[in-house]
Amino acid sequence: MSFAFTPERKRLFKELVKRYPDKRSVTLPALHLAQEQEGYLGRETIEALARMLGSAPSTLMDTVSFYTMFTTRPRGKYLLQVCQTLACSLAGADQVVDHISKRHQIKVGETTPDGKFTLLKVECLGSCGTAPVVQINDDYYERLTLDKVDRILDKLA
Amino acid sequence: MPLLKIDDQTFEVPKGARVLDEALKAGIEIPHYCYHPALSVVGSCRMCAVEIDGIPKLQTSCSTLVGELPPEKKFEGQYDMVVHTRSDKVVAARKSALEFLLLNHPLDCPVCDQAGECLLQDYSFKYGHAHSRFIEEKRVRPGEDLGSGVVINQNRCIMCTRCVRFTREITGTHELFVENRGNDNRIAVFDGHPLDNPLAGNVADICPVGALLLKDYMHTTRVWLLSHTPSTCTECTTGCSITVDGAKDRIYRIISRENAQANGHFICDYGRYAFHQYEDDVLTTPQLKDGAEWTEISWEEAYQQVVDRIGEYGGQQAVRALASPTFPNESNYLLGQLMNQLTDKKSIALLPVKQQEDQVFPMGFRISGDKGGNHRGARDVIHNLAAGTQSFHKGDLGVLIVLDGDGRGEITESIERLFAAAPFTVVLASNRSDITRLADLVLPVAGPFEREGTVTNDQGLVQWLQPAVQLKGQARPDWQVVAELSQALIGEGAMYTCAGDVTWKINQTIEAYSQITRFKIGKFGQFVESAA
Repeated sequence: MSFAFTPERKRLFKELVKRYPDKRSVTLPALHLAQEQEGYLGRETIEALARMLGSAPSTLMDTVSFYTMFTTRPRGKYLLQVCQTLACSLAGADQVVDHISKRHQIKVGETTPDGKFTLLKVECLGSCGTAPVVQINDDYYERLTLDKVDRILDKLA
Repeated sequence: MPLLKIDDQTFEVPKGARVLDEALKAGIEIPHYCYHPALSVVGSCRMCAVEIDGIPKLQTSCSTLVGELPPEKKFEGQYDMVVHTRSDKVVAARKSALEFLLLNHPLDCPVCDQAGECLLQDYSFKYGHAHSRFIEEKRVRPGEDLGSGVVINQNRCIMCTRCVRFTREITGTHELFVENRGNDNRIAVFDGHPLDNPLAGNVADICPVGALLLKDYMHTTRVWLLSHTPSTCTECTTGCSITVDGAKDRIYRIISRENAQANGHFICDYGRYAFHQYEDDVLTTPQLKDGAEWTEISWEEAYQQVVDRIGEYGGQQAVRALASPTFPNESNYLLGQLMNQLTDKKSIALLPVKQQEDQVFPMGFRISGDKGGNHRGARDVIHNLAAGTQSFHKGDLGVLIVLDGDGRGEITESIERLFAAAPFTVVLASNRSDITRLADLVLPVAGPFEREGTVTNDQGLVQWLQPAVQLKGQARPDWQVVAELSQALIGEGAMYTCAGDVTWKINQTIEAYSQITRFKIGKFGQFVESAA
């Protein structure tokens, strides 16, 4: 399975390349573009990006593996990122994680067999005033209770 | 020029000089792991931290350059930088840096190949604690095969990234990278892109610990049992300086020997593993072909054979010879002298050797495509060298004397024709090769790592070949066999008692080599005078 940007993303990529004196400077934005499109950064995707950026797959992998926001494996349709930093932790983030974990029979980092949910613990989401918080794809769900978690997940399921 | 003071020594150094380099040059030891003179500086191991006057915190000496201060700001009125490498603060810093590096290190020195030449081991002994304060479980990960005969023991790795920088900067092949971050850091190759370049073996050499290992050498011996012989690689005309690590009659490994005039810091894998080519089919006695069989004969009988056959086939004027671009100057020179006395024609030519494309790497390392390592030397020291073997067929073609090409000799059409036409062929060789198969008499001589003498690389650098292992069986040094042949044929040659005698004779008779002496060659070689 080879990788290519969709025409719209290709245009964006070309636009980005123009901004910098060195193609490799576009590494991070290009990785984001590719991950948004594919859902994850597979081997072929990284190889193709390396060719586009005049870099080596190993150098890109260096970057990809460093940042937690990049993934090299497919994730579920909904990415559940539960904040585990101090405020959320004090407000019961651990119970939220345990609850989701039990409810869907997945451990942290795993994806449900139907490919719906992936559960992750993440560092501070910057919404301490509304702890505990879970980020599901691009949306925040705040002031969580276990009931609320159930309602949210029922709606998504 | 800035004045640098390190401990109690003072140096005048150029602006921009590296503190670590200057200290090492002066013999002041500053422990370091990630710094390598051929690679970019990352300052990640923290071992080389030193105290510098006027700077409150310790600085890594690998990344600190010396500048010039205005006169009124100089330390003690004269120094531009004052460095302390042995203060309590520095020693304490080394101790803690080492403690961190050793957090997950297995300390399995008794089974580690690096033990004995491991800086982690040395400095742990010097600065380390006898007991670890780390009570958590150590991170344990399986070893992996990275490709090109290199394996990694992830547990021993201290993440200096020398190997990663090597594949990025020296070979430009980018195979290795640092995967993940923090505690999960590890050296890895990208899925489906293993370590694959002809310089790959160097990563094991530059690894300061026992993490990167060569499969070829792993678990074969212990380094303190080896004798380290400085010598020269003759596998191509680059002529890299090498250290041959062997014991008695066996070579265990070949590693690079730093020489700014020849190869720099590295060697290629062809040269690194070349010694294996000479382990099989070693010739140990003179052998005479008797129909399809080979009969072992004594040296005296062998020389007598040559004398008799020359008498039988057209006398001395009909003798022809092929010198070898892989043999040292000494044997080639003596063969040239012999031929010029036996005949009054151009009676000696060079054996052709395999030619390939040059391989040049981004930082300038070159693997020459000319596999006749001493091509230039052989041309330099032989008078009346014939351009080819065409003229040998004019008139009588008698006995043919050949120096072997160490497995790289090429049997071209003209060579095949020459061997077929010559009624009797004598080949001096260390191992059976395509050439010895065509011979009538084979004389066993020293192999590439048993030879002594000089070789000249394609830049005109003359370096010394040092025998690293004992001669096998009845084999004799190559120069000695040619000298003994000369003695038998023209009564000249007995005056040479060692290879150095011949080197001196070359010095006396070949104009371009008038500056070449064993003493001047030393460890790093001496350039021949250019003709101009």
